[in-house]
Amino acid sequence: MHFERLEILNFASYCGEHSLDLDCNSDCPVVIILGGTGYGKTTLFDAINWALYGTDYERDLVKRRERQIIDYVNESALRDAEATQGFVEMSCTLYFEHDGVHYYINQALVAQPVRNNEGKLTPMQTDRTTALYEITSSGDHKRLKYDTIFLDEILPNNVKDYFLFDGDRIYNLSNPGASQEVREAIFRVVDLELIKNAIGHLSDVATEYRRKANRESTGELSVVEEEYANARERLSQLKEEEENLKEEERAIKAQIEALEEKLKNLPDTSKLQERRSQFVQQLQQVEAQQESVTAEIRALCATVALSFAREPILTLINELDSKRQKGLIPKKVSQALLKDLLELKRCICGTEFQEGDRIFQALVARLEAERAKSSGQELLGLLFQLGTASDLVGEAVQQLNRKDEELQRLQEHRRELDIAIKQVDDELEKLPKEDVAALTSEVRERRTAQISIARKLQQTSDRIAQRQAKIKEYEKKREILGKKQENVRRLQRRERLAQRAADELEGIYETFAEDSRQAVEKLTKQEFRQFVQSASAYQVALNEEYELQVLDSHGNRALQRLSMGQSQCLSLAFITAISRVSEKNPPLVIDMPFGRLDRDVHDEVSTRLPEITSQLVLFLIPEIEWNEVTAKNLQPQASHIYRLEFDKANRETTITKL
Amino acid sequence: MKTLDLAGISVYVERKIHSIYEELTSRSSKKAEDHPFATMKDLFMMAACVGAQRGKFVELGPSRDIFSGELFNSKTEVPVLAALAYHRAKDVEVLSDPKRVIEIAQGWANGGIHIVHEELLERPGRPLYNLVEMLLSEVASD
Repeated sequence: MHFERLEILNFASYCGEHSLDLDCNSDCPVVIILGGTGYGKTTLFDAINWALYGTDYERDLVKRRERQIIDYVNESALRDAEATQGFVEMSCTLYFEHDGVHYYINQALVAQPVRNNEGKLTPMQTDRTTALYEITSSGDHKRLKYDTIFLDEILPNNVKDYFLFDGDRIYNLSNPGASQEVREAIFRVVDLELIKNAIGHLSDVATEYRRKANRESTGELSVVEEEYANARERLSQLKEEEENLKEEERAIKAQIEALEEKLKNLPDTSKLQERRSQFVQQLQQVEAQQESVTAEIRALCATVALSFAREPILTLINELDSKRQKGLIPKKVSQALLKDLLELKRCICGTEFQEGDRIFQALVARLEAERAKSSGQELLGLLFQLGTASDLVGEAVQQLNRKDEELQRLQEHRRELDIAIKQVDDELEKLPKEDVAALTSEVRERRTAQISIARKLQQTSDRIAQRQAKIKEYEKKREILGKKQENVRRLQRRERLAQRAADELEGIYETFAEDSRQAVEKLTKQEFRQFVQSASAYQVALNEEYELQVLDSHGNRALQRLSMGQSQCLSLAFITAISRVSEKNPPLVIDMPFGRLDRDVHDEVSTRLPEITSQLVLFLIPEIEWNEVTAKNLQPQASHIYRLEFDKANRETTITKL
Repeated sequence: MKTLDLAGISVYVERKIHSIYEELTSRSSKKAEDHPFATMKDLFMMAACVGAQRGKFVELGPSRDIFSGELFNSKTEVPVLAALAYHRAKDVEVLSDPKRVIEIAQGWANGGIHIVHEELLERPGRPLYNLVEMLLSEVASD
């Protein structure tokens, strides 16, 4: 997608018709619009959004700016309309090109001037239209149906925020607690929602076939079909519950992080918070060690469990040994046993030896002598193996004892850390500042909620596993019984196909999501370095929980140590990364990108920005954002530079091309 | 040295107790505390040893296969299975019949699994820690 021109009529502070050429080429991909605060920059930003997304954007306006679109009708035009007893028309038209085809979208609204009870002049909407046209190669304007399907192909509404955004909002992406937003950004931009929709559709198809099979089946099969359908229904409910709980868990985690960040920044709490962070870090390490020791214990238990067979092992050893002594087992030693002994470098009596020494040579000689013989000497081999097995079990018992003690020490350490954290929390709550106490208690509440959610999650995941096992049983039963009812069998086959396709897609979804996360992480790292070379000591990561993390050279979290400007650069790096991973390459429209940036990073950011997209529209404040540094970097790359002039007396904006 | 070649022989458990195997087994190490066995084979071996120790041999009813014989560890588990078979048959001839060795182990496991279930799941505490306690008190009584 490539913007060509924006035309506006009586839109907010823009009285009458105005036009902005946005077209640019790859050598000069930048369009700059300069204007002071309140001069109408954000209005133009709104105009582009309204033109593209119409009523969807009108809903956003209410949420974000608490304004209705009717409030944008220009005041002077409204007064003129009242004087002439006419109507006023407000419109925005955006011309753009996509895949070699030229289009324009026009959003228009007609309003009648009316006086309210207080005598204030207000617009009353009388008409509202949206029109999408294609300009054909012969110059004809062909009307197309304007719907979300058309825009979804180009730039869906739910991803536009990552390409058309304001500087303040973008800064939030790198804030602690923004993981939910980061996750959504990746999922939306790389079209993971489409896969989700496909899974939903295939599941619906499978459900429909299950219903039909249930209706048409008779006898025992009918009972099994019903139970199977119920089990599937319950499974999908459980999966939904699990998804919701995960979402809730993520949200609570984000809230805790945000609250902790607030606490860290409050005076009097920083030392306590730091102590707390250290304890939490230690706790995480202990938990990781505990998990690894527990896994080792489980593996050892499998061997130690064989000690329950001690008596049968001894009985068999005694039996075989007595047979050997009585000559019931030939004294000749099997080749296999000799080979094993040579390999183990250990004699049957337990003596260890080295290659080349006396025992070794004796065994080799015996082996050669026995080469031609081939009677079943396995029993003697077994006698040796039983001894080895007993030794291995004995070793495992000793290791299990050691690991058990280690685990107990870790559990004790973990309890101590829990108590230490609780004590810090108590101290934080006792601090005289009310806001500290309130925040600390809020954090504590969230943590309790987090534990409760984790428990519910575990419970749900166990139920899912049980239900899946049950479903497998039903599948076998219905397959057997289905053989007797051909019509049901056909429906079962279709159901299976749809369900399997949905399950396969589910797997693909998980893999694709993880691949996308990794790709975004890799590019975010690269881009962050490009944006802020001064922050090269920091390592950026996008972890599995979709948190944008910054780590110092010791691997400690350092997000809070970044300046506001560096944080914004991190967000920009992330936006650039998802744009590149999505391969959508739409124009980037940024309202006040340098607003929060320190002057020292203006140079790096203004150099890098034009390189990340093929069309960049920037709304900048003169002097503050448009200064000698940014001008030096951006001017040579700009196709158009506009200055907004604002007439305070008439509250009107005019556009001048520089 | 392969005294007993158990490769290709399927190991069966009773259908009605398969859920116990599922309940106590998980490959994920994160779930180790509640699922004290990483594989069904590990649980089967423990159940068979416990069954033999307590003298509980129960022939299998309707059953289903859960894993194949080549999964048994040749250094530890195969000799133990031989000992369990001899414990039942009292004749070394049984050791030349791998299928029979497995059948006998299945019978011991079928008898032992309920004891394992009771010891690990019906006592207070998490199953893995109950298992460790059970094992360490068993070796201590030696």
